[in-house]
This record gives sequence, C-alpha cells and structure tokens, in this order.
Amino acid sequence: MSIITLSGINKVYRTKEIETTALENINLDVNPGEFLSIMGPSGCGKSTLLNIIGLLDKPTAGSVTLLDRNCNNLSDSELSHFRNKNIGFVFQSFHLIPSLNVAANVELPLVYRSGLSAKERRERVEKVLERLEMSHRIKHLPAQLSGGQCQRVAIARAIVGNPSIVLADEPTGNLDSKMGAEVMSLLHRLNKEDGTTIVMVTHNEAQARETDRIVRFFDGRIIG
Amino acid sequence: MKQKLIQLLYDLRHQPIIAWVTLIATAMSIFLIMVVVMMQRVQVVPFSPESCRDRLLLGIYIHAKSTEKSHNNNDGSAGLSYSAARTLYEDLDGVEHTSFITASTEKIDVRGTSGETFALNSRRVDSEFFMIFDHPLIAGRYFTADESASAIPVVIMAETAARKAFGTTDCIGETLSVDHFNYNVVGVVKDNSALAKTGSGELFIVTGPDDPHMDWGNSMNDVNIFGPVAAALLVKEGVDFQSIRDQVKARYAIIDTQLAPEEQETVYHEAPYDQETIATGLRGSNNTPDSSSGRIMRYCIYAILLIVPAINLSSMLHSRMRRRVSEIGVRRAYGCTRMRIITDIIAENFIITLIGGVIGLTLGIIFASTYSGLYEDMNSYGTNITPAMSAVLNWGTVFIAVGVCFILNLISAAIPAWQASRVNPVEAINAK
Repeated sequence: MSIITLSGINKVYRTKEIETTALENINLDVNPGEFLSIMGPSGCGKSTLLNIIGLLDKPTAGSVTLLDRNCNNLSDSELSHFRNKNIGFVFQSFHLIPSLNVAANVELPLVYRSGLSAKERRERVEKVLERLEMSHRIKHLPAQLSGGQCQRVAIARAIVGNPSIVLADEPTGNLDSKMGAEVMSLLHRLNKEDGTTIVMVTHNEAQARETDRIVRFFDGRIIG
Repeated sequence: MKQKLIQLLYDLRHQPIIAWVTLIATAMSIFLIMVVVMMQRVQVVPFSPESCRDRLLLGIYIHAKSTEKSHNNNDGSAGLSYSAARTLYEDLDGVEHTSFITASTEKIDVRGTSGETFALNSRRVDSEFFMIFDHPLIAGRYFTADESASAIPVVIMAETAARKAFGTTDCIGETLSVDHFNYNVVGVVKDNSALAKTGSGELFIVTGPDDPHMDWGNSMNDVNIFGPVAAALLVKEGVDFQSIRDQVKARYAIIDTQLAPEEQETVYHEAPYDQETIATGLRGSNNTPDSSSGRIMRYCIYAILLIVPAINLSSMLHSRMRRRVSEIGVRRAYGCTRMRIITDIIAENFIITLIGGVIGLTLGIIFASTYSGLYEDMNSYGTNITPAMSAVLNWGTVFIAVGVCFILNLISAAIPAWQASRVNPVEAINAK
C-alpha cells in the first residue's frame, strides 16, 4: 500500500498570453519508509511536483492521495491541519524565521497543533535538538548559525511533529560538500530509524544514488 | 505573547524607520483622539465640586408664549425666577437635595482687609448647595438654612480669593465688602475648577427667597417667571431621571394656570437636564434638547480621527508584512491556517498599538490637565479652568483608550492581515 499516490497529475500555468505545462500525466506511488529522489534539469517540474505532494499547490488535473486520503477536495483549513500533522518540509534556503531563536523555530509546527501544552512542546523541541546534536545552539538566532547548522535546525523543525512524510527540496543545494554529506547522513538516519518516508529533489547524482529509488524528470514528464 | 514581543523588538532593530514611525504615529493618533475624548468627558464625568454628576439634574430655563387665541404674539424664554424655580422643582419625589442658585457666575468687586479691590467670580447659592456640590472646607462652616431663608449677609470664599482679600485663609468672621455692601465671611473652601459650570465659584454669596438679586422683575407678563435662577437637583440613588421629569412636566400646569389670564402658556422642553444633555444637546432656552445629533457629530469626529491615521498605519504594516512574506509561506506550510495568520498579525500589531496608546494617553493626560486653552470655549469665566486630574485620568478614560487602540489596530491591521493570509504559500516561500 502506497503512502503517496499521484494519478494523472497535470499542472498548467496560465496567463492571458501564454499557457505553460509544468507537469503532464504524472503517475507515481511512494511506499511507506521509502527514500525517493527526484532528479532532472532546472525547470522540469520537480519542485512543482514536490509542492503538489506537500499540498502547497493544487494540480490542474489528477488526484493526490496521501496516507490513504484523497486530498483533492480538502478545504484550505483541512489542508493546513493535514500538512501540520503528516508532512515536514526541508527547503534549500532553510527558511528559518530570522526573529525566532532555534527553539522557537523548531517549535513552529507544534504551535499550530492543538492539544499540546507549552511544556510538552518544549520537551519535544529539546529532545529533537538533542538528537540532531544542536542542543548547545538552542537559544541562538539563525543569523548566528552556519549553513549546515541552519539546515539541521530546519530538519529538526521538519521532524519535531513526527510526520510520516518529509519533503526535501534540494536540502544540500546551499551547503558545501562536507556539510551536504552531514545533512544527507542525517536524512538517511531519520529514514532508517524512524521509517519516515522522504521525497527529495536533488541535482546531485551521487546523493540520489544513495537513496532507495530515483525518479527522473524531463519537461514535466517522468522519463525513468 | 512572548514571541510577539520578540518579533516587535526584531522589527524595531531591523526595520527601524518603519517600526518607529508606526509607533510614533500610533502614539500621536491616540494622543489626538484621547484629547478630544477627554475634552468631551470633562463635561460629563463626575469630579469635584460636581462629584455627583451621575445623579445631578438641572432646571435652567423656562419658555412661555402667547396662546393661540391671544391677539399678542409674545414668545420668550430665559432662566427661571426664584418663584418659578420653586414651583417647578421644590420637594420633588425621589430628589435628595434641591438647591436654588444663580445659573452662571458673575464678576463682582470685593475688598477685604488687604485693602485691594479686585473682581471675583461669584455665585449666589442657598444652604442646600453645599449638600449637592462638594467644596471641602478649609476653615469655618457652610451656610445654615436660617441664613439662607433670611438673606443674612454672609459669604464663603475659595482659598485663593480669601488669601487675596485677607492675606490668609484664617479669615472667619472678617468683613468682606462685596459691591460696596458688607458681608461676613463664614467659611473658606478649597479652590475649584471653573469647568464645573454649575458648582464652581470663587465667592459664594448666601441667597434665599428674599434676595432681590434672584429676580429680574416683570418682563413679558405680570406673572414673573424669568430670572437668573437654576435649580440643581441631587436625585436619590436608583431613581429614574424620567420620573423626575414627569413630575416637573405636571407642575408646568401650575404655571400655565398663573399665565392663563395673560393668554400665555408654557412650552415644556424635557427639563430638568442631565450632564450629557447639557454637554451635547442644549440648543438654547426655547428648544427641546437633542443629544442624538450631538452624539452623531461626536462619533463622526471620532471616526475621522480613527480612520485617517489607520489608513497610514495600514500602509506601514503592509510594508512590514512585505518583508515577512517568506515567513508567512513557511508558517502556512507548517500548518498555520489563514485565520491564524490574520489573528496573529492583528495580535502582533495590537502590541505596538498598545505601546503607542500608552505613550499617547500619557501625553494626552499631561496636555489635557495642564493646557487650559483647550477648555476656553466651555467656560463662562477665564480663571482656573484646568480640570481636576480625576476628570481626565480615570478608569473610564483608560477603558476608552484601550478600546480606541483596539479599533485603531483592527482598522489598520485588518486589510494587511487579510492580504497576508491570502498569499500563495509556494510563491511566499520562494519570495526574496
């Protein structure tokens, strides 16, 4: 049984003058606990697909089923709650909130989850930062961290809510090779230890080969 | 809350111009609005010597005109004669004290033992006056009922006036020349604000039914109804003002009976009046007060004072939000709903509005309690017209200030917050 099922996904961007097809008839199944890489040249639709899987964008046609739930007809509020509970995001540019310290950044998904006390949230944040060896930076602002540390914090934020799916959009794209390797090793660890399903967009062939499966894109279509 | 304060401090550090301008503009807006509010409120909130304003009713005018069958076309309105005031307002059910006084103060020359002749704002009052208006005694006593009934020449002076006339407040028993007549000083009271239009004065001269100053004599008819007198009524706790008005209205029939041989009749204009009506609704002595138009005008002024700065503050917030688009995208990705975005932005903005509000209110209170020029139009004589601090700083003022902050925040933040909630998360995350 797949955790992610995309059927006949099309995404077309329309303006008054022009119509651009970003995705064309995408069918994809991702198994629970799988680490999947999506590769392809810039502009081929990889990030668009990731945004559709992450319920941040809607397909023009086709259906998105996550954790056995068809997400096409969910309201904006239902989508928010679904994302909060089931999906974690790791971005190329980290996207930590500059005004918040490490703890508050990591806490972010828990803030939007009902039923958790401040104490419970703080305990979860401390636990995940300890696991990612970032406890010593808990009070620091993002501006006081290195790129690798920022991405660790971003990963901590992605997993603090125990999501079933983590979507990583070029997570090592802004890091040097050493830090990139560290982040990849962290993602593999999460995948193995927690059984978290990871879908990663990358340009790095070597990193992609380390994952369970590679899906190659070209001009909005899966070519292999 | 803590995170919102952190965000505010971060904005002050990283967008200093926008953040400081927002804070200062908010403070100035609240200052302006609260000065207008306080100017209005000093006319209605209780403060010494009119600490009883919430139970105070005033009968000030009477209006009479020729009846329809009369060949004359007389129509006149003015203050009350002593006798008309007594007919209409004495011994009403539900009234604790009734005092007959001159409706306004009169400049009058006085001379004490210091030898200097100078003018004081005087008011003729009976012994009941001090049961209604609180004038704390510094020395001596208030007027007795006998003094009032017999028009014994006694006066009570305000502190500064006593010092000027006698060089001291210890002047009980001294003789004060008032307009070339000698009066005995029986009491000295604390100075009071002339903004208390009915209860204030620098010199209180005892008056009663036999005082010739309380009667203007005949003017329009043989039945003398016009004069300088006003009736001040202290209504008992819990008694409805309308029940007093109903009694007074019924008593107009007595005066109509007196006026009937002259082919004249009274016109009733909803007397006696409360403070709100006097402050906003009086339209002269020959019209029925209309508080609603005054109230509407006041609300229009408040609305303009709120909306104009709110538009400016809104554009400031919009600029601040544009720098946080990416953050909003990330928050949306992690499960923040649109409604939560809106409420968070409004709550965050409320903190800055509240800080601005505290600054603005503080400046407003200082200004309103020290700059007497604000009240010149409200006052019949130009001395000591700064209000008591309790008139400008009270829980009502604070409550209104918080309410104004809330409304200002809501008007200024609603549109930017709504726009922020509608951004596409993907575009927001990728925004530079």
